[in-house]
Amino acid sequence: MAILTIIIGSVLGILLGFLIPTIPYSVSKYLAIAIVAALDSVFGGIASSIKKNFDLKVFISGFFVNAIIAMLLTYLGQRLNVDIYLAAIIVFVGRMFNNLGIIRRYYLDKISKNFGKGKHK
Amino acid sequence: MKVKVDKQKMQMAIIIGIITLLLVSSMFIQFKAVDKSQESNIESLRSDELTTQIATYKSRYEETMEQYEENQNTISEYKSTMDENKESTNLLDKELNDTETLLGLTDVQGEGLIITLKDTNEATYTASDLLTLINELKYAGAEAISINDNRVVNLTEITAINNSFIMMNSDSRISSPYTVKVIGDKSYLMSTLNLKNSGFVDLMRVNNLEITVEESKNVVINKYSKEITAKKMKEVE
Amino acid sequence: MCGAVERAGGILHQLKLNDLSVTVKKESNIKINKFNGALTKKYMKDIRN
Repeated sequence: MAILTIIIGSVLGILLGFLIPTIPYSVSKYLAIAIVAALDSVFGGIASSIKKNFDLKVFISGFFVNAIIAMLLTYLGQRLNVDIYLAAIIVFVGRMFNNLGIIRRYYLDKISKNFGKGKHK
Repeated sequence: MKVKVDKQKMQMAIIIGIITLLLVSSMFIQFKAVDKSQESNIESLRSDELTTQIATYKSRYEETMEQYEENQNTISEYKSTMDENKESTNLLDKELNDTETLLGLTDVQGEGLIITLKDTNEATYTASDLLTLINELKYAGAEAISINDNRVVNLTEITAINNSFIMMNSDSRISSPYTVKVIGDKSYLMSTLNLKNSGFVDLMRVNNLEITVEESKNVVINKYSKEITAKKMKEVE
Repeated sequence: MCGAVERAGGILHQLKLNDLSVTVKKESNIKINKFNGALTKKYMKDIRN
């Protein structure tokens, strides 16, 4: 069920992305950091659902709050003339690698288990 | 229970779908924005690229300014040299122009006389007659003389060829009627030519030669168009 | 130049016919002084070109 909605959401997203008029370049910086934050939340959500830890509330709040906080920090960095957004990127991408690692290990485990099952049979 | 679970699952699915929509659309919006900005106008560069561009333009500007100042200095040097030269050139130019005019190398105009000499069946003009006229005109202060539009200059000769025709200025043939134009003080010229008995008019009339003298406020005399050489003579201090 | 002056009918001949005394001598280094008068252009005006 969820997979279906994911696919539908992606397709609609692509359409929307092309239809919406180009945003001004100055804003693009903030959107970029928000996307990174969002991706981090998504992978975090996937990883937690694998660990059977998934909490929808945490996921949704994380998704939006992280994005907003990231944008605010970038803006603050602009005003202070300090590239704060760099730190955010390091954290988010770092966490992404972590979560992707967890996902990878889980599926590798699953595959080798299936293999094992197959062999035994 | 099952319905509740299904409902929850539905909810989650929908929420996840919405979130995917948001995420994917943001990504594609961003892709579009970045793609557009890849046209490297200076107006759409990021700050670090801007600083390098500015540094480049700054050094280019400074180089150009140096060049420009050098050029300006050279120009003002030339200008002042030119101004110095201009004055002496102007004086020389004026002297040259005046000299050419005095030699008869330019077209001139001024007050004077127009004298017409006509051969008749009874009497014809000779080269000597023309020479006598020219001599008298010079005596009377003529500044420029021409015969049938041939300018009389310093070394102009008037020669009779075989008593059939008259040549002047090496290769110009002239024949009756002879139009002699003179520029000078027209009343003085007139009175000199018309002196009783000794003036040219009387001299010619005595010999039954036809002559008319007319005063004019505006005589135009053409320049001497041949070469004046200094092949044999050399200037001595 | 001497030739032209000396031929019959030439000016020398004419003068001699009239008993006038004329001598012509060739020189390799003749000095002629300059004109000390004034050349004026009070009445004529340059209208070149």
